Amino acid sequence: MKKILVLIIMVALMFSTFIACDKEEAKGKGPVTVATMIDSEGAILGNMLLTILSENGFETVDKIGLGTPDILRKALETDEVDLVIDYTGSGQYYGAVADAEVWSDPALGYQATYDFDMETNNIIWLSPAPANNTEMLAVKKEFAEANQLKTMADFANYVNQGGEVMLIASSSFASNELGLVGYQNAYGFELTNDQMIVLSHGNTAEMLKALYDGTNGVNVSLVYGTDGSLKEMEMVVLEDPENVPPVYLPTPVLRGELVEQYPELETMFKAVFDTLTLETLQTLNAKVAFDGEDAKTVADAYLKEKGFIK
Amino acid sequence: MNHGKQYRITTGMGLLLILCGYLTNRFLIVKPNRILEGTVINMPAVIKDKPILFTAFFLLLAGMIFIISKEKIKWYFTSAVVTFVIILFLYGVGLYSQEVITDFTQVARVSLSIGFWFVFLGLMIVLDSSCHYDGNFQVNRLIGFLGIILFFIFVMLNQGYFDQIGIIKEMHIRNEQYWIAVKGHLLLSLIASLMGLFIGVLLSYIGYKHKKYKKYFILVSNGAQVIPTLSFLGLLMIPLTLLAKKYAFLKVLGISGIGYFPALIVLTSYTLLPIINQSITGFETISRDVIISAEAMGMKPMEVFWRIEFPLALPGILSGFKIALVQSTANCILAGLVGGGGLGALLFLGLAQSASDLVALSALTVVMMAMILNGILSVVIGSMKKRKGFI
Repeated sequence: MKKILVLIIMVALMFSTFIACDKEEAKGKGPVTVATMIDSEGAILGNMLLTILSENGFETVDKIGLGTPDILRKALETDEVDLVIDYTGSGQYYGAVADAEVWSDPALGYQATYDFDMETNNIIWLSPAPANNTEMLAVKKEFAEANQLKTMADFANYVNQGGEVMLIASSSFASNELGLVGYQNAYGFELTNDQMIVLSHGNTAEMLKALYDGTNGVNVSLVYGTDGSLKEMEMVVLEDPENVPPVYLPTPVLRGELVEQYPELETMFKAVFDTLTLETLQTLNAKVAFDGEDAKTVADAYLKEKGFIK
Repeated sequence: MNHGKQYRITTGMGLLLILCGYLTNRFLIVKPNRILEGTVINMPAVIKDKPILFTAFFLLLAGMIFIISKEKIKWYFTSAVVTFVIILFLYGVGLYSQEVITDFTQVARVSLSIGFWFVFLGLMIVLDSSCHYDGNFQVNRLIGFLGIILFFIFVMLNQGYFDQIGIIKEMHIRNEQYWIAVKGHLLLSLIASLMGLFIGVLLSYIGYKHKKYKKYFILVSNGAQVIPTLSFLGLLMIPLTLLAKKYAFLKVLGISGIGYFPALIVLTSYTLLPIINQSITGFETISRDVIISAEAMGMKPMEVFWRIEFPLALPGILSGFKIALVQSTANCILAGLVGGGGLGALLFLGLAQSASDLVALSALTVVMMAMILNGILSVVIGSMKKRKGFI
């Protein structure tokens, strides 16, 4: 008798854990599960999507800050989540095959990713924001002025004349044909290993802090185009006329079934994402990462200001 | 007496830490915003600004040293004094931070720096060792005084004394998110440990009854421990995803390659080693005579288990559970990386934004959670041993 009782309790205990994470069946449209990576931009854009969805009568599930980029992608591929923020250039890592020139072009790169994902995974990339969150190099303003650095060509010149350089970057950037290696080939310069500090992760907030404080003599840092701290920290991003790195436009990415079910989603998001320029995203990111404001407050304030919600 | 001497030394170490905190340059940092380094303030500067509070503070400290040098003092008096000093210290820092931040935008903040933590840790060490003086550890006294401190922290928090402190600011800004994370973290580590407890005790009992299985169970529980946590999560992702894709009903149960479920499996596997080890020891230390006499009295095997073996092994099982629970609380941080939620998600967000206050907030919460759980279980185990007259 007691044996059976224990067995029942055990089974109940195990099931209770599953039921705890079971979602309630919703009545209205949806529910749509929105997920993003663990970062400021993901939190802002994700909250925008959530607000727009609920304003239009959708049930939503908030999974913002779900995990690392590969976890997020996996979650979308396995239907764990419905809607994520991703970047067009990432298509090359998901399996889309195209030449380097394609990835360096915003429209072509988007198309390559779009075609690939729709055919193989029934995942739809909606209309991207016109803000290239790509990998670039930045220096401090005083440093740029003192050495007259404006473009990558100037920087190559500076390096070749034997100027002091200490670059901080992620390992994926440092060894990438479309990253540092590409920059070196395109502009004709070469950095030795002791001119670089290579980090295993791509956390530019940390790199920017090292650049700002001059830790270990760092004077050049990898940055992303929409990093919020660039303006506040008075950094100069070196221009890249050759368009070496792939273009990364933030895009809402949706499961195909939902696009079929609710075709209106595309136009809803497009209106908002069209307004998100590089400058706008930098400002919004700065509010969250730099001033420490809540991402949802920032997102809602922006939508209100632009008249998307009342 | 020897015992008292030992804690005299730890008290001295605590006081030394406080002195270090006093002498360090970085006591507080007034930051213009979340990321950039601001003005560094040392403790003497704060004292100059709040003389009354801090004179009292140092008078009390001097009194403390006096107390320690005297032999015949009631030690609960020392504990009371230290408790008062801790509250005063926090109050002074809160008051200072309120005055030093003049613009009440959300942006500027006061970060607690190494000096503050030194002093705080030193005070805590002094409080802890003052509860050891009377020969044996006065758990109830320590818990009582910690409770008083927590109460005052809570009151001061409510009154807004800490609103300009960086970690509190981070907490207020994402209030709802923070409490959801705390709840999720607690729930995940608790459920994982409870599942580990159930499986672990079952396996240990089988291993105890049938010796030939014992080494396999120990092997499995050790094996789980060897795999690094993060790669364990990565390894689980693919088979679980395939399973959930193949059998739709599993998805309804919440089984999937990401999120809650893989984190639960990983945490549970890690709890097996401490629980199995301690439980097997617990079962094996039961004297054969007790069991033989129970059987002679006509008890059935299930009765022997429930009335003899299980109660006698319980303190061992529970101390295994305690280790498992504290360990899961810490390991649970990694769930944040795979969508399992919890405080790890906040911690990694802080790392991604290089916002040290957010990292500190999440890490401190995890530490406090582990300490509280550890304390509760220690008291439970202690009282159980006392009641049973456990040798």
